[in-house]
Amino acid sequence: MTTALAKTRLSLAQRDYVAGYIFVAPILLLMFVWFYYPAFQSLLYSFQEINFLKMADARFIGLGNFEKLFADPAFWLAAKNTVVITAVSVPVLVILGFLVAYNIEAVIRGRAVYRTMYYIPAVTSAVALTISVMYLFIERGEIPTLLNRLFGIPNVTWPADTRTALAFVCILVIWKNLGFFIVLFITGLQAISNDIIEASKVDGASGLQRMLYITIPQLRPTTSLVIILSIIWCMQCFDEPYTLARSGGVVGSPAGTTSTLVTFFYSQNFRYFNPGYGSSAAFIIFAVLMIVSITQRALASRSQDHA
Amino acid sequence: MNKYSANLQLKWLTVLRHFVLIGAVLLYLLPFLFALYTSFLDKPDIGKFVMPDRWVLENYRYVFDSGLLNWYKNTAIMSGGIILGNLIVNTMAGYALAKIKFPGNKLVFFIIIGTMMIPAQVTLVPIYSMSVQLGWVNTYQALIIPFLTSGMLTFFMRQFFLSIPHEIEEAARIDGLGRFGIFFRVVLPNATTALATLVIFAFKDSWNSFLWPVTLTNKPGMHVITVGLNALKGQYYEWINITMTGVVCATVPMVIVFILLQKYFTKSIAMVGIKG
Repeated sequence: MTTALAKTRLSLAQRDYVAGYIFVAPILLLMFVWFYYPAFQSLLYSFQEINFLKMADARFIGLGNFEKLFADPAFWLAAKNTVVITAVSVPVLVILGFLVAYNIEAVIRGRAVYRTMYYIPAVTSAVALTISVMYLFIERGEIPTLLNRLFGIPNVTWPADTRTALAFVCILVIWKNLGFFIVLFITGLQAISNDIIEASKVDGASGLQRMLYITIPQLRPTTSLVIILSIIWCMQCFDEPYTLARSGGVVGSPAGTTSTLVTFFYSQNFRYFNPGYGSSAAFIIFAVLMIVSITQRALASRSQDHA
Repeated sequence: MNKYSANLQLKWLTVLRHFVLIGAVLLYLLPFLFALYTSFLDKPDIGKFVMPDRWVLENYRYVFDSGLLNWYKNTAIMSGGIILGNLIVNTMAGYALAKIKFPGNKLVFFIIIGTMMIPAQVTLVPIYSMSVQLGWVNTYQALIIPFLTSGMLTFFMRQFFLSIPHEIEEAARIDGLGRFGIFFRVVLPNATTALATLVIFAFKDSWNSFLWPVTLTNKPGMHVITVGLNALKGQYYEWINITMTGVVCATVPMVIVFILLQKYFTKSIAMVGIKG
């Protein structure tokens, strides 16, 4: 009796295993064919010299692509621009995102409306946003004129001038992503327990004190998520500079001042037909992102240990 | 400070907050308002402020003549295919990872999550050359098939299914349902919020995607909305009113869908955000 029961149980469990494999089979198949296989191919490319138009003639050159890459001023310019975009945009996104979210959560009426309105740029495409912001920053337009009067920034067409183009890309990146981070901060703020806030009120903390000593420390998990996501997105910046380039123009124009690691990679592949070289740049992005995310994880777990 | 003046101060602070929030949101949405306004301008009125009685719909006709309906059609087919695929594939996998303890469950989980670690651009060229070999360039397959899975959305569905209580499935099992019966008749009907969220995210990403369509298609007849808009910008660079009409046409459908479904959006970001 008991063995018979055990037997049916086992076969039930086995039937369940089969069901499990059937459920995950489609995703595994698709991911191996359309993600892991191409990613592995790309890894192989980065050690090869390939002409896109004659893929069959590819030959292995070891670390040759990487050596060439590290000696290439265009690569370093793209890397520098990417670092600048990240270094400027991430702090602005974190601070502005927090301040807007904090104020939205502090008002009672209209909260849902604000949340929706501030999220709209995040659901639109980077192409549409880039084009419409671009026309606001045209020489002698209201905004460049105002910024010229206030800060003495040259009154030029921002995306077309080598002095302002990179700053313009930063503006676009911030504009595009701010809404998402506002909503992330709002959900983080809502997750803070009311008891702590109430207790601090009883203790007589002022609004500013509450923000500095309670809200901001309590928000740490959200803040670290915002930082890591914004770094990843800034490092992969592509749509904005691509849209800025006029049709047929070199992506990263004017004069490479808006080139990023991804536009560099893209140009190498689709303009200079050199996928081996391009892939080696792509793996630099991958390596940097891995280092960033490992560091972030290590820091997060350390701060948890201390808490 | 007495209670009355404290209340008054609070009131003023709230008014100030609304003031700043409204001002900031108008500035934040300025590019879209500017695009909407410019889309109604006649050519001589570009760059001026004119009243609605001078507005024209001429620009919309231009954009329609440039192939707008075709761009919409291509985008709808692409997005529809991607959404449907993601809905089926990610949901099934997310369910199995959360609820079925088959041998290798952990390994499968890491294989799926691993796709989030590697930037997708790494796969661009190989996928392009696979498409060339398959003869898929300028076809819908090329825009759909490689994008049917998402590590992020599978992870999201797994988290959701983990939160469904075990008892519901036990009850169904006692009633004699197998795994598939449980999944289709019990679990899915209870997962509508999560499924709606998955649809919204897949829709947002596919509707706005640019790098892949611009790489995998090169025929104007296969333009999706973002690629068409970019072409429009190149073609009518000097005619802001026409380009801005394109911006409006690319943006409005997504904004409408978002406003209709925004309660799911916020809920879903809360779920992903807190867990993340």
